[in-house]
Amino acid sequence: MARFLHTADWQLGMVRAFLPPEAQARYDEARIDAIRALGRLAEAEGCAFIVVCGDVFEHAQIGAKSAARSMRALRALPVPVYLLPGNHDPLNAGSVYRSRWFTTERPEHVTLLDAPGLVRISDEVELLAAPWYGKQPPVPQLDAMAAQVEPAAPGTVRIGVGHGATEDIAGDMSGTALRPERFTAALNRRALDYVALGDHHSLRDVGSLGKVWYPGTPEPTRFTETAPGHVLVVDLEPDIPPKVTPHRVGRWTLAERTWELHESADVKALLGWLDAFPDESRTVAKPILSGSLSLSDHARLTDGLDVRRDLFAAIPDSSRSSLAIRAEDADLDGLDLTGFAAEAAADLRERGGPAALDALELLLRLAARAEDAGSVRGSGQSSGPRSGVATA
Amino acid sequence: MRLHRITLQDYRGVAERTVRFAPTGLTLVVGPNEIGKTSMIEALDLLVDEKATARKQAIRDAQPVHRDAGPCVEAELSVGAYRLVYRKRWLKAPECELRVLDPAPAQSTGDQAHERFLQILAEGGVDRFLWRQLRVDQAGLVVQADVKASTVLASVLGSAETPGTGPEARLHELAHQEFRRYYTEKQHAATGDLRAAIDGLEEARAAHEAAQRTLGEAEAAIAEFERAGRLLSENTAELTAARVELAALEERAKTLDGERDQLRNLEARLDSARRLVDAAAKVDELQQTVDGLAEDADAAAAQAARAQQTRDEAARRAESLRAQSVTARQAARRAGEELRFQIDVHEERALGERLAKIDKTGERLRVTATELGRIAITEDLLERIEAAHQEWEVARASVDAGAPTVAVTRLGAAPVHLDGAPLGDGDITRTVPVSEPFTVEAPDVVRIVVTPGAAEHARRDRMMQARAAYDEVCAQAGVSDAAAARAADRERGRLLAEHGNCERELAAALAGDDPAALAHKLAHLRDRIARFTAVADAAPAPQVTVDRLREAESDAALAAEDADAHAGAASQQLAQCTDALTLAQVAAATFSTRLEERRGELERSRAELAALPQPVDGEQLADLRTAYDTTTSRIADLAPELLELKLKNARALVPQREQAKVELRERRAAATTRLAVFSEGERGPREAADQTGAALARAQEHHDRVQRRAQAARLLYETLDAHRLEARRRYAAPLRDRVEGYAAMVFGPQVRIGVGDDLTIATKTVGGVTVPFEQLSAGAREQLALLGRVSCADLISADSAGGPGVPLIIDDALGHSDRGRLDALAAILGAAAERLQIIVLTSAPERFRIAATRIDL
Repeated sequence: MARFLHTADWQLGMVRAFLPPEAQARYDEARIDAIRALGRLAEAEGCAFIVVCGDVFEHAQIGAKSAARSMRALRALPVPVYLLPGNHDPLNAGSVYRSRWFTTERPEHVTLLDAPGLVRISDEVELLAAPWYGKQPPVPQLDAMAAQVEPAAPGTVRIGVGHGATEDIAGDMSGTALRPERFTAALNRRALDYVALGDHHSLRDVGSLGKVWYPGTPEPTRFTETAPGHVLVVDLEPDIPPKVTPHRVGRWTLAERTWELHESADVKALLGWLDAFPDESRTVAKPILSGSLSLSDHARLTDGLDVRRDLFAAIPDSSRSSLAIRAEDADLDGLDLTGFAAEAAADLRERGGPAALDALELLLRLAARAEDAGSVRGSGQSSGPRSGVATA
Repeated sequence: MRLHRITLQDYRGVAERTVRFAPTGLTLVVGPNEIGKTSMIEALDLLVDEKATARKQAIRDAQPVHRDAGPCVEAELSVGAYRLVYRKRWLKAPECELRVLDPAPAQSTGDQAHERFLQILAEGGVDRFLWRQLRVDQAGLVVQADVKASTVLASVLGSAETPGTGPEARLHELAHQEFRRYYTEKQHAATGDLRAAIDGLEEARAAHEAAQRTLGEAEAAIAEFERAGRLLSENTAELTAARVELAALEERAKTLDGERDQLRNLEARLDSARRLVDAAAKVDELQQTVDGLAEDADAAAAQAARAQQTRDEAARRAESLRAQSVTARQAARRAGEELRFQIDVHEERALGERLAKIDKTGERLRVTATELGRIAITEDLLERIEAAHQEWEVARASVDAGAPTVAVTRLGAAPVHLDGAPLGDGDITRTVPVSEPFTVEAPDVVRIVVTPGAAEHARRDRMMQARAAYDEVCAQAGVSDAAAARAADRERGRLLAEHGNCERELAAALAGDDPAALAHKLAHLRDRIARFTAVADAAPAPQVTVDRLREAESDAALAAEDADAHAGAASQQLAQCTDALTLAQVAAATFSTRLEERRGELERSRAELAALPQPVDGEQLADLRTAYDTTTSRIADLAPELLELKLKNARALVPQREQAKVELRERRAAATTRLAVFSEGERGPREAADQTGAALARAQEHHDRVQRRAQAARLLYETLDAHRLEARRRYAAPLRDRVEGYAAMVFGPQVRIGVGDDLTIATKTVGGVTVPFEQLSAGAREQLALLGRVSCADLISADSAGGPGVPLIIDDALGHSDRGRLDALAAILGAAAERLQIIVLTSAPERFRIAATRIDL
């Protein structure tokens, strides 16, 4: 029986624009930590080796810091590791795998699957690898290769190691996508016993066969991913269906949600959503806003988001947001503005447009601040402008 | 607030003093300098402001110098509904006591009293700030009250907010602070957060662009490496193929060369046979040509000889006819000259006679003209002479007939003189007409003077006048009397007739010609005659008539024309003959030359023919032709042109591919070197570009957010500021009206006062001239400053009589004002005192001529 760990899409060196530098550093570290975590898991579960199905690195060329950390993490892995070049890190002329640091510092137990075809890695295990050499899928791709190889010898298990989207999820790449029925055929005649894939960032059992899997990325990379953060421990024996166990190693959360805001209750709900995340420092939450808010509600929203920005890894603005601000009598009446301030407010309100609304909102804040300052003098009690906002 | 009383104890130099003020109207506190008027007011300030436990310098200064006692101040006041007594002692046994008298008596001490008092002031709306500002003292004589911070005044001015203070001002200040976070004060240029965001964005953009360039280079290097590798392998394949192709082509070329040698040999032999036939044919043809040409040349030479003969004859004839023509022309000219001579001779004679007659007639004309000139008489003059003569005759007859006469007879010997002349012996009696006075005198005896009467005088005068007129007209005509005049007139008539005759004769002789021209013509004729006579061998006989000569001249001219025509025709014929000769000679020469050329050609062809090898027989020639055709066909099968092109191409291609191989290897090596820079793991250009791209996106987002906030801050601040300015303008209006009303009383009705945003008097305008407050005279400034304070106090008190009003205290002021202004100010203060409590402290009470409660210290 062979037990091994199936992972992919580490995307080492990935930069996320929505992360400020400090959060980016922690995110980088988290991706390295994920490697350590899956190493510990492999050891704990008694895995014989680890297969990484492509996109180990985010780019074909990789920065020095990312390289050094990645190499240290690879070196620390307790079992043999097989790396497959994917579409992000293809084995082209400038490939990270051809660089001097990789060729000279590559640990003994790390093997690059740099040629298409069968690789026997032990007496009872063979790999059928389809590495990428450029931005286009390799020819033949793994599914085509699987159709051509002889069935595995008795007592030997054979694992297809590939990278790329399957036809059902490939979208515009459908012309070159992997075709599940070919895998089915290959599995049926034991040309393959298990298909280890990479590229799709969420955990997925292709065709619910239980034999063709995407483990997904060990740490999330995009808001659209449905089930990131996993690796798979696979038990494989000839003529017995594989036993595949997902394990969660990821610690980060990327979440986005659409919010239609009209009143303060909506603002409260949105802020409540944010406050419900258990691990804000490793959470990127992106609210997509629509609807329209009164000046005071918008000010409340802005203040609420501002105060939480320091807690979360990031609360990015969404380009899909279309929240409007509206000036309401209630906004300004509550201020008891008199004299020229009242005239200025009326002027701005009459003027309308985003700039004037912004100015009005600022007026609202400043008025609150002036009132607070006044109440400080008057009652001797301090109530800051952001009092009432929950702080973790 | 009303001040009823103040009591000082151990305060500076004052041991104890109580002053009571009139609750309304004006209290005049009079006292010399240093008596402690100002101390009193200062004491009031200490009482209100300082706790009893305070030990400030101002308090220590109030301690009497030579007494160990604490200064003590007590005041009785009305504030709003309250009436109270407030007392404080400092330094020694400090105490504070507040006794409320009305509405409900109460008492408190210590800090509690202090707080309670301030609370009562606040409840009563007393503006402590304004209270201090409205005070006029010597130090602040020309300084205006700084009332802009007064909330009380603000509320009076009809606006809940004060432009300078209050919640709106706070808001304005906060907006200003917010604005200043992003923009500079004056230029409204980006600064602070906004500047940092803009700079940050620029930096991020620059960094990203640099990273993108690096990435571009890296990707280009990869592409170049891969491309060079691909090209190299393609090139290698092409090189191999080219070498194989070249070898095959070289082999075929060798075969082709052999066939071509064979063909050339056959061609030479065939050609030799063909040339022999051609040369024989050419010799025959040339011989025929030469023969024909020889005949043509002979004929041409004969033709030329005939032409020569004809031409010579024509030349001779032409010469003869030309000589005849010359002779005839000479004869014609001679005849013409003779004809001219005869005509000239006739004409000269006639002209000479005509000119002589002209001269003679001219002379007679001159003579008659001279004689006519001498006679002055005219018909008119003659008539006048005759008339004058007639008149005189009549007058003389009238005198002689009418006059009385005196007869004088000498009677004795005694001489008798008649008009002085002695009456002669023979003349004893003389009768004298008395036409004029005369004297008859007998000397020593008698003198008788006879004088004619008036009628005699008149008749005599008339006669004398007629005579004088007659004489005058005769003198005018240059004649002695009427008879002479008649003779002269007859002579004149004769001369005029003569002159007319001469003129007619002269005109006939001239016949319209100019005599000078006629004389010139004559001279010309004579000259021509002389010349002809000099050269002519023999002048023609004068008897030969002109008609004869004219006939001869005409004949000679006709003869000359005939001769000329003959000569011309002959000359033309000669020219034609000469042309014909030239043509014939050229034709003969041309034939001769061509004949020589063809003969030379014939000789050469004969020599060539002789040099050629002798002819092969017909069978050999047929074999040669067959062999030639076979070889040509074999060569055509080899497609020599295409083969040559292919060979040329293949020969060029191989070294080209070899060169390309070298170059591509170098190129790949260069790309490898470049690639090494990016693939060593030292740099990750894509990762770096991702990072800078992310940084740029963040910088952009940050910038947008900051800019949006900055714009909001700017718009809010500018809007608030604009409205504040507007509010202030409106706000100052009531104060200005009030000050202007008072100023009109002091400076005259035309004065206009400008009040600034800060509620101070900014300008004074009289008669269109505006002067800033600072540039006014000290007097005007102190007057306006006082009016400003009165106006402020007035406005407050007008609002609520018992409420926020404060006493207006004037301490030793108006030292710069003259009597007139002082009186005007006094009138204003007097009127204001009906509404206000006014306290005037002065050492010079005469300045204030106002009804007042006077207190002398």
